[in-house]
Amino acid sequence: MNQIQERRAQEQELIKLLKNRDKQGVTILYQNYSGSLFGVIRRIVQQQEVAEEVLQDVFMKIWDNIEKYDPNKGRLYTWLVQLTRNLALDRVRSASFKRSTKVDGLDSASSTLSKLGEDAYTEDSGLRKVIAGLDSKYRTLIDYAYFQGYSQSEIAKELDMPLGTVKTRMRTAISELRLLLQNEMIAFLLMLSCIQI
Amino acid sequence: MDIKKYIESGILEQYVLGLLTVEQQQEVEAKAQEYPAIKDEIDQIEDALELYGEANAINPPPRLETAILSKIDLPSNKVSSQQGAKQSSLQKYLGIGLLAAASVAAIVWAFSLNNTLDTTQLKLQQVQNDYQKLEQNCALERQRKEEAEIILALYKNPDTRPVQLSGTPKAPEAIASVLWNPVTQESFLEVSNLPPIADATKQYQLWAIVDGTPVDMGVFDLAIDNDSFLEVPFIETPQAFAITLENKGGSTNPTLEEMVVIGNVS
Repeated sequence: MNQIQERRAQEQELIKLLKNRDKQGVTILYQNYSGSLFGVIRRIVQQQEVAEEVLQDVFMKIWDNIEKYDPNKGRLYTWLVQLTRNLALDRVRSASFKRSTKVDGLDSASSTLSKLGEDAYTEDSGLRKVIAGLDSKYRTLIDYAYFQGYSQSEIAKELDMPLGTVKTRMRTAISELRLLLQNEMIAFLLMLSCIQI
Repeated sequence: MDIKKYIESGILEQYVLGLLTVEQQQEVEAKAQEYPAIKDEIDQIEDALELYGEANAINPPPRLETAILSKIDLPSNKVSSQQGAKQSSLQKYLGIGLLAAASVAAIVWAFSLNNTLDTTQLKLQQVQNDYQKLEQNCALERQRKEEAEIILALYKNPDTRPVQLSGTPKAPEAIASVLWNPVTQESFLEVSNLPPIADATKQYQLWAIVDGTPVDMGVFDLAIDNDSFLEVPFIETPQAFAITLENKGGSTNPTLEEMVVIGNVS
């Protein structure tokens, strides 16, 4: 019914292809996930050329390590994002980025992204608008963990809040996100039912 | 274990975001296997974050796809492009919308179909009846055509000797023919016009006159259905043919007063 369910079905097929060493799997993987993964990389790695190299490394690593992915433990996307984030962070660290520059890193990453303009984004502007409805304090929290790989204590330090608060607020942030997405789906279903009447 | 409390602790969000230590991860995975509610919660968090990632996606330059695919080491270097594997949400929604519209159309169509089903069945019945009638007519026409062809062949046959039987004073308008062929040894009676039989106990009987003696050639009911054609027994040396009206089943000797037609073999 919704795009997540649709993607789940595609995901099963894709995992099978990749585990069978079918190159078509890479093509589908690229079509389905390259935008999301590049979005993660670009928020960690400042330079476009380096980010492109990292994306290539990411695909090589997925291809070489797909047998390590266990579908029972979680979604393919979760595994892909963690792998991507780690590679991107490794690259940034090896380029002797200091941990202390991380906050600046995120800020400048955001400004870099705003400079990239709309064209750089995927065509999925409808979904982007929905996400934009999320309170910025929640978005910041998710972004720190999601795009920067910050540990909870690092987030607590950066945001100057108790560790316990980070944990509970992270839950609240993602619950709000789920609510937003759910509402979008309900609105969509309502639209559908209107058509039917 | 208090599952609700465990879920609300926020540990599952941290798990999906990759914020946990390896030991903590394994603990969550074990619990997820044990409690479906926990697994379900993890699934939903993953779904939300996947959409979050998609919303923040940035398209890499198109040339990267070719670069990556050529880097993938494989015996077969054939790159099969899977066009349309990725769709934007908008396209997906449009697709679902179109699907919904198609469903509505299908439902409307199904309703109208249901409504017209009875009518259609009635029409079908009518058509079947019509077809049956046509089939019967066709069989009748075929039979008539075959008869006509036989008569024509008989007339065309130079050995056939048509004997015209003309009406007697009792039935001046009556007319019939006997087609007699000594070579094929066949005889046919053709009734062009005989008076209808009013008495249900009566029947027409055909006679041949051989050496001055009437010979029975059988009874027939063709009086009503004129323009009919009937094969009759072959008589070797007839002098004349005649038809009389007799009691049903026929008589041994003709009732001369009831003779309607007679004709000499020339």
